Amino acid sequence: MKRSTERILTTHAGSLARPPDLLEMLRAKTSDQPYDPAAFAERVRTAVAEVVRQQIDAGVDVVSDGEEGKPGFANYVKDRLTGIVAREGMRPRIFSDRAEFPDFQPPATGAIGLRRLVCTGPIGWKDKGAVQADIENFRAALQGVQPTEAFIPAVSPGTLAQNVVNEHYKDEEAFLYAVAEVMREEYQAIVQAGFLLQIDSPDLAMGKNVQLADKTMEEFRKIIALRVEALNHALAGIPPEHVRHHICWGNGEGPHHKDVELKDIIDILLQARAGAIYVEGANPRHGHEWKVFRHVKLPDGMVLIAGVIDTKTNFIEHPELVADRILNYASVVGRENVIAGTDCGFGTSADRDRVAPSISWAKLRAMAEGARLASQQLWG
Amino acid sequence: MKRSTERILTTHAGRLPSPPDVTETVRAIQRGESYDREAFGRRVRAMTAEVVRQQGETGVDIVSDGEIGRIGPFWGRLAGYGPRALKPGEDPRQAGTPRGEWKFFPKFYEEYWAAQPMGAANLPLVCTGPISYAGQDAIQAEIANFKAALAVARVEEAFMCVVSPGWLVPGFGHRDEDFQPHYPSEEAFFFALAEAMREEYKAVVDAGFILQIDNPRVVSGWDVPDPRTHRHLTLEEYRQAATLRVDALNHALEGIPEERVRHHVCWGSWKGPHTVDIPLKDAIDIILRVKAQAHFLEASNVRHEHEWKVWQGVRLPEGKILIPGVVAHATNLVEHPELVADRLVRYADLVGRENVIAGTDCGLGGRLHPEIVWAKFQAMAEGARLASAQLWRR
Repeated sequence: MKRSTERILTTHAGSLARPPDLLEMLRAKTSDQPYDPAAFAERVRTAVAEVVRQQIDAGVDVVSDGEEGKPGFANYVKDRLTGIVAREGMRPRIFSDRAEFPDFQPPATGAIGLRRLVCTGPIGWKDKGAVQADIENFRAALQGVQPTEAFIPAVSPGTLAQNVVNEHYKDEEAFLYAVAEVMREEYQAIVQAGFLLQIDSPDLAMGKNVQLADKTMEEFRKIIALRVEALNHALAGIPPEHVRHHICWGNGEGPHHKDVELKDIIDILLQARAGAIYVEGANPRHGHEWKVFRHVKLPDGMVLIAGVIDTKTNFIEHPELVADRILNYASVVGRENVIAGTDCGFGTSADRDRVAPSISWAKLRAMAEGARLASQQLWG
Repeated sequence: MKRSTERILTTHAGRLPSPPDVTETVRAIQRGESYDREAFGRRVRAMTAEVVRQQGETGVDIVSDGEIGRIGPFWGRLAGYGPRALKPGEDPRQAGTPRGEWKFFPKFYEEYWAAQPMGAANLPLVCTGPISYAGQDAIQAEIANFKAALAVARVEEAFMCVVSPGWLVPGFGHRDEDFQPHYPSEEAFFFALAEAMREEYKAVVDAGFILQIDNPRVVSGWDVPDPRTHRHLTLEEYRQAATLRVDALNHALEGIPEERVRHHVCWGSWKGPHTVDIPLKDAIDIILRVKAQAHFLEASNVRHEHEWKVWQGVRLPEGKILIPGVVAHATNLVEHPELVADRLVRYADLVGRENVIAGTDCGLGGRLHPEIVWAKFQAMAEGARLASAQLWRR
């Protein structure tokens, strides 16, 4: 994994805006409406090429495929794995921060809001070709361009074990490890193809506000420690320097005042076998947490990817603010250990855009400019 | 005006959440429809008491009446200056602010403004004769409601908001048709507006309240092209136009003790990218000309948060108070109290703890869900407590 040896590198959390016609196709596909698989595959290929070019134009150093062909950063596995079905009319997920404000209306979650994934049989692969298609699309898109590095995101076992309702395995631990066994193959495929692997683990932080809101801190810590163990099991054999680990508190524009504090979970997060830990640091609920690294030492060799751009609002960060944020992180972990990122993705799910696409690209440009300003100060 | 002598005090930018029925009646009044004046008056009085109580409960020290039931800024309070009918094809939502930033994010703005409610308050204003003040009844009713609400509340201090003369003239640059033939020059027009509005300023101060002047245009006019030429002003032209508006405001404030006045500046509260906002450093000297003891600036949204550093190079004049926004209308996320404290300590380190009061970027009412508004006030109060603990322990 490249680090910021001469200047502050920039990246983001993986998912990016999808073109409107591709969104239409994805929505049809996700809601079991008719669509043309060949046209879809072709449009995904061209969309990946477009977002790679746009990332480079915007000044992103470590680029992704934008997750253009996935309906969401986690639920994409439904089409890849056996044993998982979508079921309508499930109970909505309760966000404890929103529950406290009963008539605060979050933006509509769309027609598929009450559709949940359910595990009804043994987890296994039904479409191993899907990750190969991601890899091929990304490789083709990278022809003729030279980003500093390239990564592909994949969902963590813990997030799947949390998001998918288990009706098959005897308990949560058995389900978690079954998922870990299977997802390992996707992780290995990404790394063997020469890409950095980003593991998406919202469960380790957001879980405390949603599915695990009723747990005590001690119980929550036990559960996420087990999930990190399962993740490490899935990552066995993969050199940590090929892995970045993204933690997030949920990308919705709710109050977030029930978010678990980074200081209360950082010791567990650092147990993951990853060369980089990637945390939110830009939104106003987590903007102060750079100070956590005053007291917590980043393990030798580990990179800290810090969110310096918020992905929930349409205000575009001033580059000077981005630079200030980077300087805060550099002051506590060292400039060469910091990479600038976005708090979360700009296309977390194909259901809707939280930030207008044109604004998301302008935010990435503001990040690159902020990284340039910070680098000037840090390297003179 | 109270200052943070023993701890960091908290306040906000004035407007607070109105219940839906009050908002509905306000819209009906704007549309010229009939309504039950007495029932509406009772409802506004009751809700004013309610928001005063809620401010106390959520830890706000310097409270407002929340502008509950106010019919737009200065609606019906002037003779000789009022709304005109729309020209064919004219969209009033865009009439006031055809912003230059639109061309960079055209689809975003198209969708954003299409979703905004449009009322008669959006109609363009024109001068139809000599300008004079006609709002005594309206302001006295607001004052009476606020006094009644405060009679049973314990607060440090109370303020009421009134807009600046410049607020009523959207768009920068020179527009003869706005004031001719009734006034010979733009300056004469602005000063006539100022003299009329002075009556309301005096009413607020005479009633014993702190007067907050809402003056967004001094910075938010920057991205609005000259209405005659459709050309953007140069920085020099802009500064001249902004200075004229500040001169008019100071004319309006003549005779009002500076220590009864706080001056709120904001870059416009719409939730857009704000990439072309004029930097504070290019307007701070003009802002500081205003004869107010306190200057109240946005400082927590992502476009202006870095501007605390402006105070590394600019000295806050002796005796003045700075009210930085430490929680934002820009997002539903509730600021972490530690982040609020970090922001306050940065300001205190630069201008002195006794010269800082914690505020909100802009009025939160109507811009955030009511429940989020009160949660943000609590976060602000808690952040001010944390900052005070740091600042007074040293």
